[in-house]
Amino acid sequence: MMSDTIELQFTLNGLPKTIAVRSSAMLAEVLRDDLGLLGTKISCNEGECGACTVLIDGRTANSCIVLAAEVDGCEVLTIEGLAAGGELHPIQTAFIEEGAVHCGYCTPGMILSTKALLDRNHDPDSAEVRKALEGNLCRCTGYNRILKAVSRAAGKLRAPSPVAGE
Amino acid sequence: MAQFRVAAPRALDEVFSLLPTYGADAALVAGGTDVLIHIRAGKSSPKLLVLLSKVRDLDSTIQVTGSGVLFGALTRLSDVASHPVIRDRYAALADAAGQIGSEQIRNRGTLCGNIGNASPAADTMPPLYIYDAVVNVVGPNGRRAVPIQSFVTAPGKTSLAQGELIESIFCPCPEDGAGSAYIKLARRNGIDIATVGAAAMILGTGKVRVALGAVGPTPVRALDAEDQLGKGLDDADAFERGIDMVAAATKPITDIRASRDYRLAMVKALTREAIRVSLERRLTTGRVLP
Repeated sequence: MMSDTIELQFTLNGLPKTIAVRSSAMLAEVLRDDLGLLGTKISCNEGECGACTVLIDGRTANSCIVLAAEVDGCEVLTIEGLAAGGELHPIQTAFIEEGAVHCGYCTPGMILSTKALLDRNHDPDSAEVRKALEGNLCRCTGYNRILKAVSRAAGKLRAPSPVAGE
Repeated sequence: MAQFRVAAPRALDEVFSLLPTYGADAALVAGGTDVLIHIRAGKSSPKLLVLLSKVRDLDSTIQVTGSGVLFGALTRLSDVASHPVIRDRYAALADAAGQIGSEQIRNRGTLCGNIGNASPAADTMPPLYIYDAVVNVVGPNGRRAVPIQSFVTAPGKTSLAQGELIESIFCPCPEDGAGSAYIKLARRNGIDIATVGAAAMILGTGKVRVALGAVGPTPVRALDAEDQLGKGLDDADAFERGIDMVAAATKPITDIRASRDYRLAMVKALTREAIRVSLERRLTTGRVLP
């Protein structure tokens, strides 16, 4: 327990994962440097900007200030896990359709915060969307398109099946 | 970043056997949303981080009983903010927990951590002061209960002895018909520290309680002003004298967020608003009995 490495067993994007890491490593570093999942971005590195957002047991977290040791026994979802199987998730499609991706650095975090919101609330109002995304900063300031994309994604996820000809 | 090791004990006994070896060089981590940032900013450099999240004796739930609510050592701020009984009976605490940081921070940060961190600006403190919360402390030599008003002693300092930790926080149930609110002033809505925070509660009997954050080295319960504010609920002049007494009970400083004078003015404005919303809630909210 007191050694400098720590062994983690957790579920990563739906698959079991066992990995030994430095005990002081942050989750974002392990995802990017040890596991090669570069979709999780590190920007402010102090829990303010949300670029490193991942879902831990279905809830958003800033992976830059979560010790990797914390996710032992947990389920972690990164942006790579959303399009598992090669098909984009409806939230990702909605972001593309609304032109909500500008430089793209905030996008993985925005999309995962959106997923956490829509998983618990299928029809959020504008205030609820803004509150859910308050921890995700976009410095290209494309917020209007992002808000539209969230609304579009909510509609897609509520629809029983894809509408032909849409 | 400073070098440290991380231990993830599974039982309280292990925590208590680890801590003495490192003494002041050990830091406890519940959510880690302050500890890790302070380390990275060079404000602290512990040699050992002891994670509490895997300790099976520590609780992460909110227990509602006939006499009040009990928050576990690991209860997350987002659960405090969204719990129906907290939103109804302890609305000021739900207001405060829901305005800390961002959703990502509230999903990791804990209520007990917010108290243990002992920031003068901690949002959950003024509400806990008006509910007369009790901090349940556990250490190698047993347990003790500390009233919230004597728990924080100075900025970043608590009455926790070395080797002790917060096991839970208890809030006695406010009487039926009480209404409460917390108003936070910050430079922006998301991810900011309070410039001034004000909590109020109006009891069914017309008694008023008021506590302030970020206007002194520790949170301030404006005890001397409360009688006057109660008398002032139907006498505007008396009420304004009460508001002046609230301001007189605070000792704000000038820092990067605001000047002393601005904070004094905002203490008055926020207290008025907290009382107004408390009155509204007292009259309008449907009661959910635990």
